[in-house]
Amino acid sequence: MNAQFKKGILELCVLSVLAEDDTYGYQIINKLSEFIDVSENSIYPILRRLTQENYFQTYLEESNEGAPRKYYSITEKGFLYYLQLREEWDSFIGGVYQIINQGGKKNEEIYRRLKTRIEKKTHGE
Amino acid sequence: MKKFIEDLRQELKKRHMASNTIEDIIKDHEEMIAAAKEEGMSEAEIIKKFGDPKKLAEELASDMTESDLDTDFDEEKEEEPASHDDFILYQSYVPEEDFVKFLFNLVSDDMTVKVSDDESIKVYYKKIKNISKYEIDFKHQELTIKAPKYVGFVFNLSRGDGAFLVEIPKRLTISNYKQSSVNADITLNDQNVKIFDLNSTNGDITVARCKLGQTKWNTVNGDVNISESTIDEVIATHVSGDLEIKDTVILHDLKLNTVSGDVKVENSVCNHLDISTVSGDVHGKEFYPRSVELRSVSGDIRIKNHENKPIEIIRKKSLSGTIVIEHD
Repeated sequence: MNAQFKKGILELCVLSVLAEDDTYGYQIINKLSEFIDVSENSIYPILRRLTQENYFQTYLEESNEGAPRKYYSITEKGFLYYLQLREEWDSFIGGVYQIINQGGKKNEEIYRRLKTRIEKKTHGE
Repeated sequence: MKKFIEDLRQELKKRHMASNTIEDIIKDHEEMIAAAKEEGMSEAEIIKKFGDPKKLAEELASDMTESDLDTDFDEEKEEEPASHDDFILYQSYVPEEDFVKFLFNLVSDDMTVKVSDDESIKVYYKKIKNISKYEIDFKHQELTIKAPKYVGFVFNLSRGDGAFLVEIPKRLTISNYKQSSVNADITLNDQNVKIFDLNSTNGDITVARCKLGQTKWNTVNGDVNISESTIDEVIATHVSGDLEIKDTVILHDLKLNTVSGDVKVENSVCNHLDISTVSGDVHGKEFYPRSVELRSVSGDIRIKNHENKPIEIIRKKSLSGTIVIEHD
């Protein structure tokens, strides 16, 4: 997948996690990798950049098991940005699905139709 | 996991980050690794999950602001000779006609083209270690500069700081300028180019005080900056790089295809403006196209002018983007 495109999507994913609740770094990675194939090295730069741009704030909180953890918390600016990205994404992906589902969702069906089309053509010649 | 932390530290140092920024990043990673261990993940699992520290450092370096960079490094740099003197003359060529063609295939070396009062074409270079492996030639009025080809896929995309400088006599026209490069910045000043054709991935393109004929460029991340120029026609493709045009006359069409790159036009005219974009916006100030056409998902065209010259909207096809033309 195009790197820039993936980056934008991951940014939206990180924002979505933090729109739900304040979360620490490793937990964010865990939450994302539950559903998609990502590694830390593509998530941490996003966290850092969005924090620098004041979309997130951070604070330290003691953990039960060891050293205190850095929690990321979405700001109002960040939430507005999330809404905007979310809207862009919804309208984009909505359009994409309309296009790719025009011929139906089932591969077998699409294949069957393609096959009859090819057969028709070869018979016609 | 000590190795990961050490590798990361080295990679960040290599990219001249300030030491407090490095420590900050390292601290975050030590914390995340500790959290992963507490969840019972094995070293091997953690290594897999954290990925390549080099890629991480690259990514972080590309987001850096000035305060993140090591200022001591800049001071060290200043001890080196001034930038123009860094260039070493490679070769002079005497042109027989009043035109010249350029064909450049580069990876990460920057390219600057300037005019000079000299009667010959001069190729300078700096900070290029293996200059002997470059193919540099002037034949039938065509100057060729090609970076060495690497066998297989050992392609080093890290940004080098090598550069070329080509100086040409004032009277010469560039009949054809064709360049493809990956990370190279391209700078073109005071030139007359008939056909201008660029393909670049990350490098920025800067054009000032030029007269360009048919102009075409494709770029992924690079920004394009055009000022005080006259251009016949522009056909351009961007992905996320921005385009800025200032004090420029485009005689015919400006046609741009972009995903998220924004466009800023100031004090310029063109005949027809044709924009296809996903989320990139066009912002014009004192920008007078005769007509505009917009296809976008969420990208807008917003133009703010003093004079109330008519701008015809030929077509607008957009999910949430708008065209706004205002006069004050």
